[in-house]
Amino acid sequence: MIRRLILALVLLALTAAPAAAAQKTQVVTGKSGVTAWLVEDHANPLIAVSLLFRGGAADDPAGREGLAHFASGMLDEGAGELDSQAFQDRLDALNVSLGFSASRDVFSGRMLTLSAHRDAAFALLRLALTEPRFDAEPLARMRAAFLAQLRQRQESPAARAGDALFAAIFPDHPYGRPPQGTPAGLATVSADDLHAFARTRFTRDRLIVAVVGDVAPAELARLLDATFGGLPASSPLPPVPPAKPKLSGGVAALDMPVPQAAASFAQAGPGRADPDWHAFQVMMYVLGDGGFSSRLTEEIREKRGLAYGVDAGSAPLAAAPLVVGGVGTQSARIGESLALIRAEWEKMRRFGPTDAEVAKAKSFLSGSLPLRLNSSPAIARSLAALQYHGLPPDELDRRAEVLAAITPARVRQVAARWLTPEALTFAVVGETAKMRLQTP
Amino acid sequence: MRTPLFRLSVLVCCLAALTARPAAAKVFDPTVFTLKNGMTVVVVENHRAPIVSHMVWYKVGAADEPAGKTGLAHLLEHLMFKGTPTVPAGRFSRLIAEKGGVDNAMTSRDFTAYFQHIAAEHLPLAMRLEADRMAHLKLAEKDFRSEREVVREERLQRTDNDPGAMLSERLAMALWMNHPYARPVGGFDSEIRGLTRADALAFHKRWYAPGNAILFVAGDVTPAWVRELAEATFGRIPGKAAPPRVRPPLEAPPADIRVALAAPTVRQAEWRRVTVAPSCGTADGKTVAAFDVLAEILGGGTTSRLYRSLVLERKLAIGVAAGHSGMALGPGTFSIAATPMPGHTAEEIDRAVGAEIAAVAQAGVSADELARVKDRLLAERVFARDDLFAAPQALAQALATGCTLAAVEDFADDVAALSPADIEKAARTVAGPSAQAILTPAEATP
Repeated sequence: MIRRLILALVLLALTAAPAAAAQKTQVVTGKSGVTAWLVEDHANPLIAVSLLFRGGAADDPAGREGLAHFASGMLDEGAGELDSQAFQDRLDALNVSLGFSASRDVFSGRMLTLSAHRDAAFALLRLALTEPRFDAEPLARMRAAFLAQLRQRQESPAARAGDALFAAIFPDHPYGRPPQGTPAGLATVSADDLHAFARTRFTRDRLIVAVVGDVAPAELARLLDATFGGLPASSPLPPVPPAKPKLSGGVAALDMPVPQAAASFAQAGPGRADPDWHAFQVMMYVLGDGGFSSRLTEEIREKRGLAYGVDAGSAPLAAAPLVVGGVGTQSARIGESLALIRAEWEKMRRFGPTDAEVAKAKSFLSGSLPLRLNSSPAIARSLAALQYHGLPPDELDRRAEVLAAITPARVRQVAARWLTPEALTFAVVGETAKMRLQTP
Repeated sequence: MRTPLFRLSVLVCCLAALTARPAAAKVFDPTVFTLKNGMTVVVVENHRAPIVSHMVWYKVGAADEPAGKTGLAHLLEHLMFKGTPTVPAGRFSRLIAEKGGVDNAMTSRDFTAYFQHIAAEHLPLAMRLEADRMAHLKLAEKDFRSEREVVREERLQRTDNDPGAMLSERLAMALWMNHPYARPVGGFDSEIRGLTRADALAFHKRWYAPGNAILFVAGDVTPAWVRELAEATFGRIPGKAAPPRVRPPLEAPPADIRVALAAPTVRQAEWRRVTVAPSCGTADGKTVAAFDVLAEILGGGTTSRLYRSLVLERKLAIGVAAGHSGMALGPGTFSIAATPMPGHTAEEIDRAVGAEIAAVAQAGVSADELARVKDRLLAERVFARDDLFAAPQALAQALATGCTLAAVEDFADDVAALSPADIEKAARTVAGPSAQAILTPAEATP
């Protein structure tokens, strides 16, 4: 439950793909100028596509909260000559898996098809992006589904804690709104809003494409032109304004009758392009991002049995990079968990990790790079994320060298520079009457 | 599960677990052999990346716990990280992480599994550590006590904090009654609190032995290398007969049973329906496959019969899905779940679902519907082969639940042999008495 929030946020930080794949990455450009990174692999007769459009839920207009999320569920609900059922029927008949999602910063899509149905699959992708219908029937049906999702989200203390945290630290910025939208926003979104969304968001200047599998570069160049060549060249939308998170260092507590309280917490962190990024990742691995190797897990779970899960890691949001964490502890003892998190934060700021901890963290971060090569869709996601961050195809070859060059002194310097325990801001959801929360 | 994993929030919660079925047919082409002490070894070669998935599955789960000790199998799963004479408590996961690996473990009704994903060159380390804790688990009382608290927090987080999970737990109890499958894998809190270090060690001694375990290695390896490593590690542990596992049959309910859970945190109603169905532990592959196909035809996605009827045409539900759980040592289950549209009742959903099941039972399925499902399974075979981590899950689960590797590898053949009459017959079973559950906000009446 805790990892749900964090993984959703750091998805784009996970840029790791193995060196082997990076070496084989080809850059394919169609006549239209649309470019994709390709790992050609004919071992299995399938093609995996990962695509991103810069700009996500944070671009939703005021009063239309949830527009990007709504659109992500509507693109396969009818396009071109095919109404909703005809489109779904076609996907089903061809065994094409097609899906979209929206985070605060990015609208992403994925497709998986047998190479035998390559052209038909890319044609459906083109229709979904360029000629979505947004008919009344699927609009009403998906609206009901999204509203039900929001209601179910209210049943989860961890989801509510995450929403409350972002609302508190971004009171005047779109990041403060849940990417899933609000009941009022979702109730208001119209077909016109969705058409405008598709026209202004799905543009070639915002597009990133990665492809893995059974397709040759020349064929892919043709498919890129056919699929994306018809998209507008650029978007009239301004970028999301920079955000200054309001990190008060306080604890906002919400009452909910559940036996285990869920807490989310955040402070400012480096962005992906910051020169401190990699040293910061080493430090956060030791502090809260290293699973059973992390200090938070050791102190809160292993030594005291206070929680099933606790962690914290980078969430490099484009307009306000953060460190975000979470923990779940029975309401009567959640205060102990929060106090321990603050104490570990302070300890790390003052003394940094030990030389041995740095060595082990670097060893994990380098050694685990190939683990994300388990499937074609996983490789495609990694390649798209590298492009999103403006990194080169051979970034992963360089990664091990970059990590190797990081000294313990550098990691301690980064800990002292970035960690701000006094500004670590919490939202807690549970039985507030039982909580004994200390203020820092 | 020992560490929290990212779980997708789906509209109809819990169907992901229910729809698990063999991934495809003749997908993985495994090499299988047995060590002298009786340990089964399964190897799937996949040389795409220099990585390996290493798993040990024990043929013991929550359904094998002594009465009054629910949660014991799962607690032991956690305690397996609490040390041996040579690897102190907490070191296991750190040793794996220092080599760039990740590890985790999971417990179900029929099995307990441990795995590491790691660079292939470190397979010897993973195997040495896993063999060590099979033979030499050592538990300090203080580690036992703190981990018991962790397991209690896990139950709070995964079940008591989640009304959908509570509904699943109560529905299972209503369906299974005094059958061992009625027990929640996470345990009841009152029973978890009573578990002792001696309980855990006795359970380990009884069930954790090479003859009751399956070693599974998938990735950048050769069978010869895996055999050499396995003989040098697991192979040195003395063999011992595993106790028989008892899974009594379960008669279908005499009539429909209904469970209603009204919880103060519920904001969206949910509806579930479960019937007892064949599993590979109780029936042949073709019989089991018929229920998998029926699940696809009734509730596999937005072109399925239930979606068309309940969501598109009658607007009774926001979402609906069906699944067959046939990988079980004991009886399997056939499940349908729906998210009712506000303003519509569980009774309306029940009647509409019943009508669709009856339509298949009486009028059958079309050749086109059947052909599509068969086609989908062939495609899934390709997709499953693409994913290094899919192989161990599907094959090891089959072996740990009393199924055969052929049940996975020949699944498409079993499906190809099905006729519309086989699907009709399966629908007649599913049309029988069921256990149903409805989740509602506390203030509303169901």
